[in-house]
Formats: sequence, structure tokens, C-alpha cells
Amino acid sequence: MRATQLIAVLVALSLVVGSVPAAAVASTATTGAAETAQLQTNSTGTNQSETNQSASVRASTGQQLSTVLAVTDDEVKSAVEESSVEALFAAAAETERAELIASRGSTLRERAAGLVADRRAATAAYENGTLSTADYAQRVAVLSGQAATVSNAITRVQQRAVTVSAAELEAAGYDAAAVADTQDRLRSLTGASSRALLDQYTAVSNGEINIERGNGVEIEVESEDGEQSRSFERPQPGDGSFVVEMNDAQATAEAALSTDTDGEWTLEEAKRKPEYGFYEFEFVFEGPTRTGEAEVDVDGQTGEIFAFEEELEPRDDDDEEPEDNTRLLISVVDGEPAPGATVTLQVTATGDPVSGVDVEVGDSVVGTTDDDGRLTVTLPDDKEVDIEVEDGERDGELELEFADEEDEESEDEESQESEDEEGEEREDEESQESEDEEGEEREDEESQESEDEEGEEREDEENETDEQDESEAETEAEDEIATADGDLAISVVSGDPAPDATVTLEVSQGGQLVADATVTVNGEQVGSTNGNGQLTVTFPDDEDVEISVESGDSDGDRDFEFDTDESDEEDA
Amino acid sequence: MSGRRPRVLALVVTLAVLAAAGGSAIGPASATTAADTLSEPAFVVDLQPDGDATVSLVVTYDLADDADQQAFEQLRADPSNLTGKFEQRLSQVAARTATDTGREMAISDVGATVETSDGVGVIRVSAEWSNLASVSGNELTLTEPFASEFQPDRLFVVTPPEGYQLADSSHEPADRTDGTTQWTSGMDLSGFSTTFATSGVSSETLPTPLSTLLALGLVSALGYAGHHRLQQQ
Repeated sequence: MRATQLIAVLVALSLVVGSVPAAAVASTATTGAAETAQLQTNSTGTNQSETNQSASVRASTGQQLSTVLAVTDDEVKSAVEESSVEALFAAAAETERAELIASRGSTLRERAAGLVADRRAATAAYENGTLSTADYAQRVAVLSGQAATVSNAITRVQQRAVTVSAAELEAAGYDAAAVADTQDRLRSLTGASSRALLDQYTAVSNGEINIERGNGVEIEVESEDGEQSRSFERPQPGDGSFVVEMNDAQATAEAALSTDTDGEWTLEEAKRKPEYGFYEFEFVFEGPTRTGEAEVDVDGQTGEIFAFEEELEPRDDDDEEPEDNTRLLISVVDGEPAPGATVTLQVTATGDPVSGVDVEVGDSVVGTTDDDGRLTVTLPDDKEVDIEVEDGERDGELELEFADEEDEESEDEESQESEDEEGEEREDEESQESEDEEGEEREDEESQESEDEEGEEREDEENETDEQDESEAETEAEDEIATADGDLAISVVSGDPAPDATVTLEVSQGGQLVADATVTVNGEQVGSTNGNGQLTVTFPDDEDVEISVESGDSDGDRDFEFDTDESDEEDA
Repeated sequence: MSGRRPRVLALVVTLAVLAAAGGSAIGPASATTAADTLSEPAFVVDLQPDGDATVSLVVTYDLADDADQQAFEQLRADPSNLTGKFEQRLSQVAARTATDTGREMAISDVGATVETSDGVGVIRVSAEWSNLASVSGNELTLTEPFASEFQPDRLFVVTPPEGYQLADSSHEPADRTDGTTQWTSGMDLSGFSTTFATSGVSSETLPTPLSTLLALGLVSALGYAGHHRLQQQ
């Protein structure tokens, strides 16, 4: 072989072997690459360290584009789906409409359960360090976008439901309470901080994101346009009992609110949640330059905050001047609020007591505040008490809601007889507790008023229940959460309970999910809960189904009683 | 003559191989845009010679029944409600990318097309993105916003203008078909930089070190052959 030939062929072969892949995987020495390196430093500036408990991140443009694509994909699919459901609904008769609503409601509940589970999994991965702060924030943003579409779709289901008779819905197996409860479950993804993350990661706003992990995860987002949001969430401590008094819990909640801005927080609503063992407080903020709102959950046994959402935003030019309409704050400063209890209220404005203010409990004026802004009142023997004060252009309102342990115990027995008959009433009661950020539930309520006669009749029945038969309404709330028998609570998180139906159960204790709990259905052991406290089971084809759970020394049970077709017909 | 024949043959083979190899790298680009033909979830960037691009989000939806078909017909008639938020969000991403790169950018002509094929609905939400790629001579280079941690949840497809070919990429494409360059779903494209160049300057179509090496190799081979031949004479 001639040397010349050998070299020439070698060169040719080297070209064949090396050219194509080399062209595809090129060096990075280009203008663009240099630009990239600099931008990487700028756009992803972070002081994150996996060993640290706190990290600040900013959404980079690439992450924003990725999120925009994911969220838009979900929104487009949802639009198609909704359009399809609407087409079916428009063409269907009453019975088919009810079935469609039931089916759609069930689908959305499962989807919501999946999103909540994804959020939990992401949080767990972030807490154990397998997910970075930036990836966690982006993940929550995408889930928040998906939760928003599910939440909107649920609202549309509820709007359609009021146009169909209650009997048809019941026959179709529509679980209105569970659908309404789903909105509540989605709040971890539709709350202020999650929405703020979505805005950051879809480039709607830019700003700083700070995420802290330790005993729970705290997310703080501050956008360049002045909006601030803070959230904190961790498993609920305590055993579900109430040791801490409501006014002490309220003080704890108030102490957690931001105080670095001029203005005043006012308690708008206080609830005692016996089925979960915690207090829920809702506040609004009014200041000369900012407005805001917050919701704080305080554990009833330990008095610790385990869920916190706060949002502050610049006051719009159109907003009323706060100086002329400062809200009055009503606080319980002495006594434990309860039906029939005697408590001392104090009315303040920007921290100063307000004397000579008429205090209205229910629809009656019960007295006037003294020089210290105080008035001792006896609360009516109701489970919801509205207290209002008015002083010129200033006013204030405090809503108290309670349910005592005795009711819970009696409810448990009653619920087995009536839970399937009046499930819609639960929806009404629970929907009042769950807020929709964009007021869509309010629209829903308003739309109920203008619906057809059947819808009006249902609404009337529901209002009657709310106002006159709270005990029964509370009973219905036990459909999804049962705590009276045993200290383990059993919830149905997806699927509609019915004979031969497949549902996913969730077992919790004091708000914490219980893994490896043994689940028994009608005396037969069917399995154990997974790491998320869940187990999917198929109900026997019986009218009565008893679920029992056991974990260590704790146990709980829950009974389901299903109507036969004959009784349905009678009801209808 | 017989002694020269193998050498000539070797040179011919060398040039032929060179031509073949070069030809495969600088083949003509497809005139059909990928966004129009893809029927799987994808994000498609169709580049133009001036650096502008048409970006398209391809969404697929299984059409289970007549109601889905009917829904698609309605959306085909009025796809406007599919594009509102996309335009707002993409405009913000473009604005920030413009700040980062120093190039003016804008989003315009946002629209959506809807079609069905074999029981699958395909929705393409698209927009014009001005100056998405930087232009330098006969080169188009894509970097931001993809370089800043872009991690698509679907196929990422870039189609160069006709006459342009892939010259350089920081991330190995998963596929190069019909003139498009594709990266798989889930790939972290941090540090992304991909350059396309016209076929007029072939040296730019191959990585510079390799091109130089090949040229030097050829010159050396030919030089050595000539020198060897002179010595023999």
C-alpha cells in the first residue's frame, strides 16, 4: 500500500466517522453561548443551598416559557373538555343531565385529588432535598395553574347542578358536598402564594421568591408591582381535641399577621372546626396604601398555627379612602365563645377603643360599648352568630361559628339516616366556608337565586336548613369526615360512595395523614393505607357499608347507608 | 500511468467521500413547517432568515365521542378563547428576554388552528416572535430564553429557514428529520445555543476544529504524495 494512498483513505475515513456526529454535537464557542453564560448568572441568581433551610429564587425566562407551555396546554384541553360537556348538556334531557353532572363532578374530584397528591409529593421531595427550590417553586406554579382550571370547571358543574332537580341529581349519585369540599381541598394550590408563584412563573409578574423549609414549608413572594403573599403549611399538630380557647387562638393568629405596613387587620370571621379540631380565622387589611386578606388555621389542642395565607397588594386608585371608612375591629377579650356563652367584646379602630358604639348580635342591638370599647354580651344559642357594630361611616363585623362535641356525637347517629337524602344541603353549608378567590362561588350563589323553580325550591330548602336546622346541616357535614367514632377520621377523596362503587379513602388523625392503617370493609380486611394515608377500595353491593380503620392504638369507623331505588322513587 | 492510477483513485475517493459527508450536512431544508405537520405534543420554532420566528404550541386531544367532535368544530369556528392568556404570558416572556439579550422583541399575530386527524384533535396555538434568534452574517443563533433553564414538557422542534442547516449546537438533538432539529421532552436545555447557517459557506457547517483538521490532513496528504513522487523520479 502506497503511503500516499494510505493517508488519503485514512483522512477520508476520519471524515466519514467524525463529520456527522461532530457537526451535530458542536463546540459551544459561539456568540450565543457566551451570551448564555452571562444570562444564566443573572436570571437564576440564587443563594440556594440544599443544606440551608431558606432559599431565594427568581423565575428564569426558560422556566417561565416552560410553565407557559404546560399551563396553556392544560387550559386548552380544559376548554375543549368544557365545550364538549356543554354540548352534551345542551342536548340532554333532565335525567341525562343529572348523570352528566355526576360523572363530571366525579372526574373533577379525582383530578383535584391527583393535584393535591402531586403537591404533597412535591413538598415532600423538597423537604427531603430531592427537589431544588427553583424546581419546587415551578412545580407548584404549574399545579396551581392546573388547579385553577379544575376549580373553574367545578364551579361550572355547580352552576349546572342548580338547573337540575335535586331528586334527579341524587338518583344519579351526584355528591354535591364532596364536590364543594373539593374546592376547599384545592385551596393549597389556589391560595395566594400558589397563585403568586403561578404569576411569577408565567411572567405575569416578576419578583423575589423566598421559600423556607423546616417544620413545614413557608413561601413568600414579593412582586415588583408591590404585591406580597405569604403562606405556611405543615401537618396539623394535636390530636383533634380543643384545649386552647378561641380568644387565645385568635391572639396567636393575629400575632402572625404582617405588621410592617401602615393599616389595621380586622377579624372578619372566626370558626371552630370540631370535625378537624382547629380554629379558622379570616382577616382583612385596610391601610392608606395597601389592602389585604389573610386566613389562619390554629390547632385546637396545641394552639399552634399550621396553615397560614396572607396577601397584601397596593390599593387601587378606585378604592375608597380608608381614612373615611376605617373598619372597626371586634375582638373577644374575655370568655370562651360558644352557643349561649357570656363573653366580653371589645371594639377598636386602629388599635384604639371605640366607646358608645351600638353592638348588634343577630338582628338585635344588645348594648353599647363602654369607655374601654367593651361590652359583655350573652351569645344566642346558635351555631352561627353574627356580631355587627356601626359608628358613623365606620363599621365592623365578626362572624362566629361553632359546633360542640355533643352535636357531633348525636350527628353521627343521625347522619347515617339522612346523609344520602339531603347531601345538597351540605354543599350549601360548606360552600359558605370555602372562599373562591375570584368570587365565582358568589356568582354561583347569585345564579341559584335566578334559576328555575326546582332550583329555587332547593335553594329555599337549603336556606331553611342553614337558618333553622343547623344541627341537621352539621350532621350532613359528617358524610365525608367522620370523627365521632374513634380518633381516626375517614374521608372519601375520590369516587362516589355507592354499593359496588370504587372509592379512594383517606385516613387522618388530627389533620395528619395516617399511613399503614388497616382498613376493614364490612368486617373484611381489604388492605392498608399508603404513604399518603389513602387506599382505594370497592364497596360491597350492600345498602349498609361499614368502614373501620386501625393504626396502633387508634381506630375509627364510618358507616354508609344507601337508599334503594324504591326509596329514591318515594323521595322523588 | 498504472502507478498513478491508485493515487488518483485515492484522491477521487477522498473527494467523493468529502462531498458525500459535506452533502449530508448541508442538504436542502424542507419547505414544509414542522408545526403544520406534527400531530404530537410539541413546541415548534420556525425560524426566518431575519431572526424572527413563528412559535407554535401543539396540543393533542383524544376525541372520544361526537360531543368532542362537536366541541372541536365550535373551537375551529372561534378559537379566540384559546389564545388570550397565551398572548399575554408569551409577551411578558419576550419582554424579559429582550431585556436580557438587548434585542428588541415582540409577540404578534397570535392565533390558533384546530384540526382533527384519525380520532385525534390537534390544536396549534401560534405567535410571531420577532428577533428570537440573533443574526450574524449567514448565521442564525438561538439562545435565550431557552438557555435559561428551558425544560419543555413536550418535543422541542426547531426548523431553520430554507437553505440553512444546523451548524452548531450545545445540546445534541435527538433527531434531525426533514430539515428540522428536535430535542426530546423533559430535556434540560440550560445553556442552550444552537446555530444554523446557510449552505453558501460550507466551512461554517462543520465544527471549526474538525474542518481545520480535515483541511490540514488533505493538504498534508497531497503534499506528501507530491513529495514522494518527486523523490521517486
